[in-house]
Amino acid sequence: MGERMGQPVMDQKEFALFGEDGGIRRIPPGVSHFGLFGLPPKVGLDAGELEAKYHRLSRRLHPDFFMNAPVGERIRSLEASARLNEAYKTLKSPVQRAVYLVELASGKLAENDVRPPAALLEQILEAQEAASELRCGCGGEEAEDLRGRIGAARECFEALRGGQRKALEDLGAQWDRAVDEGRPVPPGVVQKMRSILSQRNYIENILRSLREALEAAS
Amino acid sequence: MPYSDKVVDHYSNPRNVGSLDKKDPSVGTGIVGAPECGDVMKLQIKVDERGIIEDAKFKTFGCGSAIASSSLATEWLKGKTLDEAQEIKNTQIVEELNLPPVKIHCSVLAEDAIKTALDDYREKKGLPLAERKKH
Repeated sequence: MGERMGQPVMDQKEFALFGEDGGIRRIPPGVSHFGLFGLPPKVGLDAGELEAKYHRLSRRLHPDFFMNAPVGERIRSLEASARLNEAYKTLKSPVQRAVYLVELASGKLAENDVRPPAALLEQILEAQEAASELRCGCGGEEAEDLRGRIGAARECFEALRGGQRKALEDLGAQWDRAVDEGRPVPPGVVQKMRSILSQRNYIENILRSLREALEAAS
Repeated sequence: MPYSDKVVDHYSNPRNVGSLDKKDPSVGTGIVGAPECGDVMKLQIKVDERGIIEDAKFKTFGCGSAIASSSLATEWLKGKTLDEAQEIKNTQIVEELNLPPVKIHCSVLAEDAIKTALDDYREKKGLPLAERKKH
């Protein structure tokens, strides 16, 4: 992934889904979700514009128009619809959009090249243990102490999440500034976003679990 | 998607849940996570003086398949040499537990945890690390 870093994320030209003859063009693999809608590859995005473009394109791909079309064209219309829906769903959600951009710039998060700090994972396992003990009532610890411990852990993870959200906002602004100015996104920005986004699910999961344990026990 | 009987068995009756003292020089610890689903897995091995894994423990915060994969992994690790343990593949876990394609990453996580624990132990003992292959 190293060589991809620091290069412009992608071309920003809108891919013409319909050829001059009105036929559907096959979408080449290099066309990003942003390219499909002709939107700049930015963390911030005009939701109204995305929606308008999505509706315009999906109307033209409506199956009614292809009922009598040759089989190849019918298949292409289905493929294009599926891709369009996926692209819309991804870009509409701010988190999914940020993950998508970071993955375009530096490879899949699942490649797991940025290991979350072991201390964080250990803290999560400890908190989870307290949560399961509270749920089953099978630990040696008093329920009151457990609740206190879980509450403290929850505050701690919430503070972490708050800090990360703030950091993501700042990084997103730096990303967008680079795109606006036609510069490559600084590798440090990509890397920091990557690291925060790959910790996101751990923190969301443990917070959900702690909340549920406290609710079940109250 | 229904879980296989073996997953249900390991999930409802997990083997070797717990912790070993990670400061103990004969203990290797692997803590890994899967960023796409947020599952967290800790796997530890205790190695005797003949280089055989005498005990293995795990703690997993995640779905049933992740818990079953790590539970199975600890069962398989006991009694193995480091080199034998190094050979455990996620595909064997998939096969044994009958994991569906969407849960294959759970077995990958378990293999990663095993390898990280082995690395940790080898590092403590000043032994050369085994080469890691990419999935």
